[in-house]
Amino acid sequence: MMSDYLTISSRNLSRRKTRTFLTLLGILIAIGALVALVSLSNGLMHSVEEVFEQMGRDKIMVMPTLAGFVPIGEQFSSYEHDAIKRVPGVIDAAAMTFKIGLAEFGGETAFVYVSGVSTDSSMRVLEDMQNLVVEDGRNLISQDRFRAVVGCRYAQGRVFSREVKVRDTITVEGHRFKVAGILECIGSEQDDTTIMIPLDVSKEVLNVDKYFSVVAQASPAFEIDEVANEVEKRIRDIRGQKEGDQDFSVQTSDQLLETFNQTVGMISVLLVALSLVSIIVAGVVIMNTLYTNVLERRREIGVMKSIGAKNYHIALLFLTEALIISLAGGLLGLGLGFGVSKIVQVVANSYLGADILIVRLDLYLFSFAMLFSIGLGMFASFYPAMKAAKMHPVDAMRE
Amino acid sequence: MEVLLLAAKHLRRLSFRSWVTIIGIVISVAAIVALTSLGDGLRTAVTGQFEQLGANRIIVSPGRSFELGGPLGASFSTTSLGERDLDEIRRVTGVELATGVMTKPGTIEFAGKEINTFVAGAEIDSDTIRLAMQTDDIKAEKGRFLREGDQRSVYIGSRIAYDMFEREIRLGDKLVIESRRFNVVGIQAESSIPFNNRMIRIPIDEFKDIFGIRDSEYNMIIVSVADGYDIDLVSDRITRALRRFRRVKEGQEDFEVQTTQQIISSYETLLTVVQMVVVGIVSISLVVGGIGISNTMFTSVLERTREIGVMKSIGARNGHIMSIFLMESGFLGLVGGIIGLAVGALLAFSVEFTAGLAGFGMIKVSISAGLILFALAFSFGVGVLSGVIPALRAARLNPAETLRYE
Repeated sequence: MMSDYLTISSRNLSRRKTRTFLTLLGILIAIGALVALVSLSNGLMHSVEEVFEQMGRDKIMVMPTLAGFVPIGEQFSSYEHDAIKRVPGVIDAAAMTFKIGLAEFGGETAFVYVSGVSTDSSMRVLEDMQNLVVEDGRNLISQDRFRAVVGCRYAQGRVFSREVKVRDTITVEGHRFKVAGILECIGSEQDDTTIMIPLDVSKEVLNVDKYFSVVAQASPAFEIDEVANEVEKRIRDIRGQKEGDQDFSVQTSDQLLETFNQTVGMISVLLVALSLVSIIVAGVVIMNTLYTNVLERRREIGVMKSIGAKNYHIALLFLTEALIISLAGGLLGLGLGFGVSKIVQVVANSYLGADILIVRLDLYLFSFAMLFSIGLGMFASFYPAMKAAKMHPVDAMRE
Repeated sequence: MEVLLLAAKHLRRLSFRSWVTIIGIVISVAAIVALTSLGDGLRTAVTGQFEQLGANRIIVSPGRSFELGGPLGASFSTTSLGERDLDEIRRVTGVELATGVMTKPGTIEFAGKEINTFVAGAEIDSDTIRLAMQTDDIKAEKGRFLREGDQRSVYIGSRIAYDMFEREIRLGDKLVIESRRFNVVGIQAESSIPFNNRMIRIPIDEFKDIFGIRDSEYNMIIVSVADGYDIDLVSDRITRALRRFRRVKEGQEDFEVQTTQQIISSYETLLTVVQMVVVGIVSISLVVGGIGISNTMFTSVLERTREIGVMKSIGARNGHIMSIFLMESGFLGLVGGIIGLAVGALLAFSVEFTAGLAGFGMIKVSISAGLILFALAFSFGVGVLSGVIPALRAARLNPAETLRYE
């Protein structure tokens, strides 16, 4: 029975090749755009989750209250850093200083991000946290004084025109640092143009005495939220601040991830909404095509009815046509959209120098696109199919 | 002209199908127009905020800090500008007024509550006061700006005055800044730049005292250009003067000179890119709509095969047939464009109205003549383009064959 519908519908469609092809093209482009946008934003969300997964769920970030990028809260003293280390449940805590400083290399100067980092045992916490991988040379160790580890853009010649190599000397704020290692690309401009130097040395060189942030690692034996609360309370006590009046923030990895996902989620909802405009227009095109088909086949419908076809037979015939078009359009659109987002992936990753974006075609996206496409076809064909079904056989044949 | 009339006549005949085709174009043009005009409005609002700083201003800041960290990025900078740099700048031809500002995060206390905010140390010489008078953005709503001879006086941002403490701050109230008492002499009118509303300004000598700074280390130096001078030229002169004074070679400057126009245009570029992405995605729908036009035109060629045959046999050239169909499809696009423009404008204004009710009154929709022209030309173009292949097919029909066609 169903196979009869399929045969008749596909014969009808192939009799009007150009029109069928154009309608298909419309759906294909609209579904393609939707798939590309959804898969790209899913890919982005997925990579972010991966970064947080690598960072570990056991990290607690302590930062001054920020206004945009600039701290308005007090930064952290080494006394406060030690106090964080002593909070029950904290395994270790690393500290960082941060400035925009003058660097000189190969006769060129540039203002760059300079960061002092803990080089004792707590360095591991930072490595985990920022997902730092040394590509060439080695990381900083506790005996290091005037040694530096630099972001990947130095090695690519994107900060200074000469490429920086391990064992080169780079001058930061008038002090000479030997490059101990070069990091793999992280994918953010700020991280990849940072020069990292030992924490103690940075206090002299950058003329700072406070830490921009402290990252603590919580023991798995403790509830991380409780440890974070305890850290918050300890610093509040030291500063004599009341709850709600504090000038710093304490966040766990999960809280950070949640904030990030909310942002990306909002953007992807917006993008899908934008591509819906194309989908609606594609629906209008399908409706028009089928409506034209109905008008052209009035006689045919009349004949079928007069030899006993019921209204729903006729309606089913047109719905099947729409189903075929939207199935094919959905599948091809999936292919097109996925192809486009793969191209974006390659371009974006080679620009950032890191495999940040990975788009995948999963069952969820597949079924989302197919359901969308079929739903669109059914919705758009409803009116033409009803119109055909309700035709009076005599009127239909008379034309 | 005749061709146009003929096209219009056919359109009347094809009513229902044409209208459905047109709806496709209407939807996409409406979306494009609404998003473009809202985007333009938003951009004007944002750049307008910066223009309040004064369009003829030059901002000198230490080492790339403005570029990397924004207006307050200098608090991360290891270099600074001092009084002698300021003097140097004041001597440059074309500079009308110049003043330095130092900012640091600090705590202030009022009515038993302590908060963190930005404290700015302002020079209180005549240059600074005149410059402040010229800048819309720091106009006083109540009281006055700082003035020469002020001691223990503070000029506060509107959020500090009205939102941060349990009780509203009034003129003459005492404010404790880093454990010293200051007298509120003025409250700034609400500024469109958020950090300005959270800023408090005190005389620079007291600022240095509080924070234990000996020499002035300005986070930025604000310069106004005298009438009749070219701002870019003056900015170049300042760069050269500072280079000479600070003994640095070209390309190795440890300071940054930017005109407000440059700062505005960098924000503008960012907003334009976002707008282009958004409009680009929506424009895909116009392609789909164009396909709809092609489809309709193919059908119409098919239906009018005999008619084409008749026209050809009484002497119509291929070119005539082609232009009839091209005009027809262009007309479909244009009608869609006109209606789409109206719907889009309506949509944009209703968003503006709703946003206004929700307190975002700064969004002003702007529908420029350029946008109107663009939308109409574009939708007509899409129509014509979509009609090319069907029209070609119509034109190439063999008259004998067509007359036989049923």
